[in-house]
Amino acid sequence: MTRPSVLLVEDDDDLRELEAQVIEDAGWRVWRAREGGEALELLERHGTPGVILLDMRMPGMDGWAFSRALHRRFGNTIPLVVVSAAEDAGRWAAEVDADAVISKPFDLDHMLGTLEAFAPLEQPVAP
Amino acid sequence: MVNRASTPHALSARDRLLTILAFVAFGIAWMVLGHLIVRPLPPEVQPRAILIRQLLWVAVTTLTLYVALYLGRRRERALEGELQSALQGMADAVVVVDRNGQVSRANAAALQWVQNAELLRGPAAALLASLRAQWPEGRAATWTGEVLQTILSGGTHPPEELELRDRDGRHAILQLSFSPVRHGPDQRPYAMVVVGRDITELKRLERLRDQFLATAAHELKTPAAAMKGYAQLLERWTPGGHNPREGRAFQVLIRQGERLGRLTDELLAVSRLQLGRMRVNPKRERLDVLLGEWIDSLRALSPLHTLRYIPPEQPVWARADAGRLEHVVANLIDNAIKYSPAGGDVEIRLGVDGEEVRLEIRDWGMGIPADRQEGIFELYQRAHAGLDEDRGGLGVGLYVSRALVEQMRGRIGFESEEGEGSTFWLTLPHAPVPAEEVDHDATIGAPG
Repeated sequence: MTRPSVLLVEDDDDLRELEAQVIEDAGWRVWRAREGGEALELLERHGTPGVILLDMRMPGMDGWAFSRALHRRFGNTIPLVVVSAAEDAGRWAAEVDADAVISKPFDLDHMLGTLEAFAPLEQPVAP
Repeated sequence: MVNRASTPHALSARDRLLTILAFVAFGIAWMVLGHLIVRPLPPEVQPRAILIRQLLWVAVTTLTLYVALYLGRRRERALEGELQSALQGMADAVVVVDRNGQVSRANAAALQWVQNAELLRGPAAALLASLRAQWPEGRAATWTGEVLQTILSGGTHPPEELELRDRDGRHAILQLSFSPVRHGPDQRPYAMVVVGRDITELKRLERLRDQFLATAAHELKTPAAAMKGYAQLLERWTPGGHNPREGRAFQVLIRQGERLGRLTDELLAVSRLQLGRMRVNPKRERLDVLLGEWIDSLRALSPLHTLRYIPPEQPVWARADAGRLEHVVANLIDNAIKYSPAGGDVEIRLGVDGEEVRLEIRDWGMGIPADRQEGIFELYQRAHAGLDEDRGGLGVGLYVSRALVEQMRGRIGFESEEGEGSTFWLTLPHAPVPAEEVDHDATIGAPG
């Protein structure tokens, strides 16, 4: 059985690597993208992930433009989780019709809990 | 100089007395001297000499009075001219409106805002209408006469900001302030003077500053998130560290990362408040439970302190924005910990007091010196700044807390004694469960 995958869209390299490490350690596969355009390419290449973790403010294609393109292409089939440092994160999440929001600085367990809710790991994988 | 300016055309009492005495002395001298001159003359010439002396007296006194009046008038005119040129030279627009709502006087700066100078001699209503100005909330500014009535009846009106375009079509913000023109023995207001100050540039800089603050805070949150996250990751890979020292270091990194996150949250909150973009959505919330959860998550803040929560005996419901209130509670508890460095208890109480729900956070720390207590809810005000007890901080926490509590229609305050500790309290509107929603098992009674 294949492990569910997470599409991680985050422009800050350190933060992206951190999130990717934690998520991979926990058992998901991670597709990393620096901005919306890259994320769309990954979707074209690999198909649909179990869940998308999306930063909103990014150079290139930002979170709003990406989610518009995403919904045009895939409808509301892929769970979308907004990860943002902005105080408006909640409102932004509503604007892009996201399923959940995680505000930075986030707690790792909270992030993993959110992922588990949308893309549960079928079988626990030893770290 | 100041004295002369305040009572310019009136002579002082001493000067007046001296003038009268000089005049009396001059009269007596004139009579004595005239008598001495006339007496040795032959008797047939004396009547004519007396006549001449009397005519001369009339001429001299008339001339003296004329000169005195002339000098007085000249002084008054100079003063009037000085006042006029001061008024005309003012950078602020000045318009005087009489009790009938007519513009009775205006200065040169006022001309910058009107298309036609005639408007500065007509009804104030027409003048305001011609500006096609708006109040900041977008409402068209029209003359209602209310402000004039308030000022004439001795009241005050806070300054207003007016958005408009000047004669060159440039968008501008004018701050208008209103004050009475008083006259007469009872100093009753008989007109209103409106001073308009161009604050466009000031507003632009304020906006720039607030935008900067918001961007800076946002930029700071990303490294804070990375720092805290990597520390958590290290802790995950090696729980407790390779040795206790390393374990403690992980904890410090995590704690300080959280702290940095909270500080940037505060900065963001300040810029939101200043921009008027802080949204608070109070809902009916069960505070006794929420408070318990928040306090549990704050226990890790300090190993030296014990957070003692004394929950109410019955469920407590209040109208509050849970997220914002959590911010306030965390802030007050953080302060209580910070200002009781020796450690000890921090006691948190919740109760209902009539229409209000009251939350108290008490510490037995250093307290706030009496002379530092005023204005501690002001922005950038830090009660312990410069004292040995200074624990740092941005001086924005209490400002943000007060603003948030007030937006939830509550109040916030404190009692404190130096060396004894402080109690910070806040109130929120009580929102008991309506009788029909109370199920039979609930311990809460129907609202009275």
